[in-house]
Amino acid sequence: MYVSGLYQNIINKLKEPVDAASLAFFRIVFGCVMLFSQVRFLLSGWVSLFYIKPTFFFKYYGFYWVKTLPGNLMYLPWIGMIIVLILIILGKYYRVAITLFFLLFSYTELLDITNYLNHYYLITLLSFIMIFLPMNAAFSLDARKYQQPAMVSRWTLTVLRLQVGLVYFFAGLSKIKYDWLIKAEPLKIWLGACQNIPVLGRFLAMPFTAYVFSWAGMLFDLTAVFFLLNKKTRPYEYAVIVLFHVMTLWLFYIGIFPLVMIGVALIFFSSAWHRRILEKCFSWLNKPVQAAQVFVFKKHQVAFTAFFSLYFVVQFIMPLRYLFYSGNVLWTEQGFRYAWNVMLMEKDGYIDFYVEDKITHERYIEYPKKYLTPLQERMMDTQPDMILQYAHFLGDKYAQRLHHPMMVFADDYVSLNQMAGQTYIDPKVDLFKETDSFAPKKWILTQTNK
Amino acid sequence: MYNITKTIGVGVVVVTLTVMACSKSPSVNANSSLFGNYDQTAMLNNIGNNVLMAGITTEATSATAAQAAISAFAATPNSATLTAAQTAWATMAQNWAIVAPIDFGPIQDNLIESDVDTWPATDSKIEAAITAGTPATAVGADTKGLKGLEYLLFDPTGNAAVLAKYTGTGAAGRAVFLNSVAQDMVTQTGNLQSDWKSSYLSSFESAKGNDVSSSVSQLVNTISLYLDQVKNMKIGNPIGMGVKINDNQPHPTLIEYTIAEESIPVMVANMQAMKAAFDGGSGQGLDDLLNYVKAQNNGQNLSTVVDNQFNDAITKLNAINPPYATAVSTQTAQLQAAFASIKTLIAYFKVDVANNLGVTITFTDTDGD
Repeated sequence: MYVSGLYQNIINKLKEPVDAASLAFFRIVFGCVMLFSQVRFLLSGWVSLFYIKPTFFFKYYGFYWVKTLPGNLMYLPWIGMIIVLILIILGKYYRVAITLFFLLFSYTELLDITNYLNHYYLITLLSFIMIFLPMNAAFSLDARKYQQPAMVSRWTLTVLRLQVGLVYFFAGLSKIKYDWLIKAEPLKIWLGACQNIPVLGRFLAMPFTAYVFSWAGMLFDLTAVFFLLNKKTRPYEYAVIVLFHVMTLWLFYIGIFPLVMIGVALIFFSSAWHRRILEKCFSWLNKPVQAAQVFVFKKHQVAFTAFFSLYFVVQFIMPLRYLFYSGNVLWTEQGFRYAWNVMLMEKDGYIDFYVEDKITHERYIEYPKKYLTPLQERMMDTQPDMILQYAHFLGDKYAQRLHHPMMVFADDYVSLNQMAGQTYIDPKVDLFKETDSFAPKKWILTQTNK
Repeated sequence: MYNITKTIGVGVVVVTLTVMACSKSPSVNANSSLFGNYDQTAMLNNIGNNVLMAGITTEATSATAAQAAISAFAATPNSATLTAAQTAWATMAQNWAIVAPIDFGPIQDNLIESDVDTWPATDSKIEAAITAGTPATAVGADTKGLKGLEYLLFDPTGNAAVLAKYTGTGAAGRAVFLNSVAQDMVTQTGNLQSDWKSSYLSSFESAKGNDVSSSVSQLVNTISLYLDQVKNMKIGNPIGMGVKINDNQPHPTLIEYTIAEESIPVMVANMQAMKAAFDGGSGQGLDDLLNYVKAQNNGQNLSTVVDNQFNDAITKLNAINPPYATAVSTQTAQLQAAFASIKTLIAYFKVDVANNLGVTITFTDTDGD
């Protein structure tokens, strides 16, 4: 049958041996970008700013038990990551190193939702996948005992490409929205802020430019993976990727995300190209003398198939889960994270809380800045699950101090993409009574200004 | 095989050139496009000259007048010279209230705001400076400025007590310190005026657009921040609705002017000054710019909504009857109404105005307490 024939073809293709140089190349690029990123994080003083100084941390759902380390011990995970990243680049004790990196990185990410970034989430996913792949089969100190070139099954390369491709694809899909395409928001606002840039500024700030960028950005994201897979279009697409990401870096100050994407997109190049580059720069990792042992990576194939199938089913569902909730995902933010919603909105808010004693009915005003850093406050202003968490923190604090049952109300005013501001959280709902879950948050008021 | 190295090379060169050509710097004659053909020059000239510079000039003049009156009192302490000195001080405090909210440029860079307007003043430090003969130029910000002068010129029990201090033992040293604080005010406000005149006014007028360094951004940010100051520090703390003091109890000692009865008129002057900086008085202001970008709120022009909210807040402040120290316990309804009104105004600024003008609120945390 045709279908089973096609299926068999795909299976055969995925099993076919390819040069392990591609995996090695990805391992080294990933290691270098992350090394740069973590050293930069340390040198910028962000460990202290984000993880030592704050007195309150916004936890991830299901990970409330993750705690910061006391004082300067908080630097240890970063020192640890830098050490294991060097091991990852060298390919020494690779499996242990990448597992530790995944654990350390995830740990630091789970400490505070405030610092959630799409590309950090991507790093978590990639490092998780890389635990299971033979990234050290070539150009690594671990592989010196193996005959080179070592070969691996194609699927090991495919899962990495699929993961990177998904990011672009869903980032493109998430741009198919009224605000982004028809109103060219938020690019209109953001590019408007670039008008003082000499020469180009006036063009960047034109509303027309915002439309061009919005549509081009959507099409670029949606098609990137296909142009990268095609041998003929690949170099041009990569040049566009570099241009695109450097431009976003320069215009919008979005940290190392552009660098990460410029790095990981290289996985789409051919193994021959990867090998050429590696032989030029990293041949010292391979022992010059021919080793006798042949690298084999064929165990647990069924388990791997099941595992990665499940993994990618989840990866396809996560970005689409917002469809299960009513309302604009940008407004409610239900199903917003882990969905490659990148640079989609300009959202501003202003919030205060009122804690009310259920017995005396005395209402105490609570300003977020009392316990939060300016960044934490800014992030919480517009994100319902963080608001709920903070309301519980306040409620607990007062209940403990006053030994009375308490109620907590939010007074939040939010504007999205240049629409008139409006009340965001139902001011009559006692948030202390509400609990976080995957159920729709009914206390988020409907967006009336559109 | 395609020549990818070449492609990347070209890409990198293009990008580098673009970045070099476009590294962000405040440009003098940038064309506005988000703001289309709106004449930002007229707006910034009007706000700069007729609102901000005018306020700074008035303040500097009144500081000189206050110094003269204070010096006359110090030379001949009697009831008449004291009243004259107090009146001149009050005028200076009122005029300062117009300057204070515009907390960017030289006023902040040269720590003028802090030297002139740190409160509360620390009485013990003032007494120590008098005893030691330290001049105002050598003491901390909480030992001089407007609040230092308030302590030196007023007494909760009345003017007789003030006169006694300038005629009894140690009077000479007190008069010397009083003069030096008044002189320091002249220096500080004079510096502010000359800094603006010589260079800052023209940079203010030419910083068009809406990026972080633009004047529009500076104005929206400084107004948002100072509205917070008025709400949290001048009203919130005294009625127990502040950041750290939120017990809903009156705290008369936390009002801005604890001895002279200036707190209410100073808040009103603060609000009027911010309103003028927003709507440009009778000329072009941020309100016109908001109209230009067609900013709406509940079916009305956002500019009208904001202007009305300013008026509402001012009306609510005026509804508070002095003395303010008593009002914080006896007129909580009026104070809470003013508090709520300013809170709404802040929401408009931080959220609607900022969002519509594409300005980033930079969240400098200056809570102070």
